[in-house]
Amino acid sequence: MRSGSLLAALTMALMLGAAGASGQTPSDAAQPDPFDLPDLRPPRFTLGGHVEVRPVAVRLDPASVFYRLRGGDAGERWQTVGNGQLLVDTGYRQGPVQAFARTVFDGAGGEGGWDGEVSLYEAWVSLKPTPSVSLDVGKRTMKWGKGYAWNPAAFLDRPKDPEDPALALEGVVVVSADLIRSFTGPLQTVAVTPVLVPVYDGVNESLGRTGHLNAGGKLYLLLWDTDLDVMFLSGGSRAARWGLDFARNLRPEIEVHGELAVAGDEEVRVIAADGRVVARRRGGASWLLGARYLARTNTTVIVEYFRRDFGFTADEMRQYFDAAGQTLGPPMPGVTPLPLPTLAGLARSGYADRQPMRNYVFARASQPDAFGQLYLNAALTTIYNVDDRSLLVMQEMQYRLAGNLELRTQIAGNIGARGTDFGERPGDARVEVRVRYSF
Amino acid sequence: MRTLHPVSFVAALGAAALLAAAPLAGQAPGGRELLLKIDRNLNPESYESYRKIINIEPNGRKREYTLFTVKDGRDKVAALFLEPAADKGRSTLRLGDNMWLYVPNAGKPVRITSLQSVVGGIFNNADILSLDYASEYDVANVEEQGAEVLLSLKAKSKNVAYDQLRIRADRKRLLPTTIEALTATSMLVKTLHFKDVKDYGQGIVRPAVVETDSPLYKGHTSIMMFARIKGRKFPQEVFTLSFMPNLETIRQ
Repeated sequence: MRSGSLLAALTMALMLGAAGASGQTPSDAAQPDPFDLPDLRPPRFTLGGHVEVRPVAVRLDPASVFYRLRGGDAGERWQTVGNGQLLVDTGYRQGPVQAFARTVFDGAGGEGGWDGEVSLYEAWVSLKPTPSVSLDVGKRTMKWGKGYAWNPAAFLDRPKDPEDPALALEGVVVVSADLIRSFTGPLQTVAVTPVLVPVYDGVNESLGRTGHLNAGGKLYLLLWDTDLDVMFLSGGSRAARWGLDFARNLRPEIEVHGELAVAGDEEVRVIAADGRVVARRRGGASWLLGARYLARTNTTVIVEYFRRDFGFTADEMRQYFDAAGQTLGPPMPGVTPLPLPTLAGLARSGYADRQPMRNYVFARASQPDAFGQLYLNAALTTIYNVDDRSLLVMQEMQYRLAGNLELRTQIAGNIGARGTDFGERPGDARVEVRVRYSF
Repeated sequence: MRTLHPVSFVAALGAAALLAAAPLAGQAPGGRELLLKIDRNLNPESYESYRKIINIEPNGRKREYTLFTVKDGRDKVAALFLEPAADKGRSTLRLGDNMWLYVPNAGKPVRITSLQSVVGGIFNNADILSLDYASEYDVANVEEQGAEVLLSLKAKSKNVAYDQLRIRADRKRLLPTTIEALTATSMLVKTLHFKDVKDYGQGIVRPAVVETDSPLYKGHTSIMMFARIKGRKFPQEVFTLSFMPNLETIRQ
């Protein structure tokens, strides 16, 4: 072969080899994007949130203890309230520094007039020099725990409403850090979150006795495909407590989770069998065990059992309702009823809590794209009081009307005999419509 | 000195070859290499990209979602919702068989499954947070069909979203044209159609559009479009539960 032909053949071979090696045409010139991209560089300032209107109609139970304690009108059977909310999230980011504020404007009104309030749910500054390290100062939600309806291990969060667990909640003022490391092998992630929680006049007063700087922390592990957390909180504002939680998929369609919280003794005021108000020291554990199952029909079922040692026994609740009946009812010879302010104070200190007693079961079945309608979610929820066999049942429909517009309806009913948890709620049924626009 | 009988020698060689091939038992010869190339031709092993998912209902109405996606190595993927506003800030994370969804209002990640869908429509979480096919499937059969090659894949474990895949790929480019997802009994779950091959730069040439339809969602179509695929390495801490609320911070 002549040298020129050899060179040409070699060059051709090299080109063919380069083109064939990957099956691709080498090129550094990218073609235009197939769709309009949002700003690739995230904006320095962000603004978002939602506005919603939420009219609610409550069918009142004029004979219930908690309705009568509120001084409700015995002749009133329905109460309608128009609620509105504007939630505004503002954010700022410059390099490793980030700031965020969530402001909530709530308004409610009905026949008695209108009322409104503004709350700063969150306001914090964060320094994130690397993805492994974060230092945060301000008011924020910590969201510890793995439970869906309840979180006994969420020492620093306000209690969720099990009828609406996804609602935004007001945070607490903390100084915290996040230190994260990843590994290969069975232990994939370790994250340490130390926390300082000041409780002083005007700061975190809902967390207990003022005048204390409390310390807490959480250790998170992703170990053998299981989320594990260990947390603690101590410092004087409340009894020292520690907790743990876990979550794991047993199979792709079955997830199990649980929480345990153990706290030292605290004083609880109860009505004893003889009708006197006594203080009892109560400590112990609260725990939750739950599972989530995805059926072949795409129905998701969540079931949780919640136990709280701090809760009132069935006898203690009955004694409270009996005492209230004596105060609110006609005078009886030889009986000195408890004053109304005492009963109202006891209600606020625990008896009127969402779940005041010891053993509850939560169950929820939800179906996306229900009845063949895309973006229509239907759900059925029940909260069952194991101790007195009263319950709440709620049906919910949620529909995404358009990209940012959502409609939700809830119809809920309290079912229970007199002298039971759900049987003595102020209303025995509730119908709610919510229209929310996100921006 | 004793010598090995030729027949015994051949038998011993054959046994040794079988033992060496044991890890690849059940895999079609050359199939794994083909599948690895298809994976690399679709995406670098570690990359970032922007995607738009469009769900089209039978009445023509559309819902659109824009996501920022990052992947690192064989089994780490995370996605952040950018649009619409109602979903902005949501993120999903996948570490091997584990998946989580973070919703800003709820404030903490919850475990989800591959068969659920965070966007509704035909694409499920396994499609949105997809890993390399070679990491989840073995190649059971390879069939050359002229300008195309057909790979039949079987899931490596019960945790994988689809029991079987049938990938039809362009033989020259080694890019998929269609992928059928099937159950263990070979019932068709969905079909992915790969269209509009585009040059993304950095040597990445791949279909820009993946359109899917399903006999289970008659009349519905879902489309995924890819933009700005770029090779990029990430700190491993990006793919952790604790980092999910901060995924926006790694957008450049």
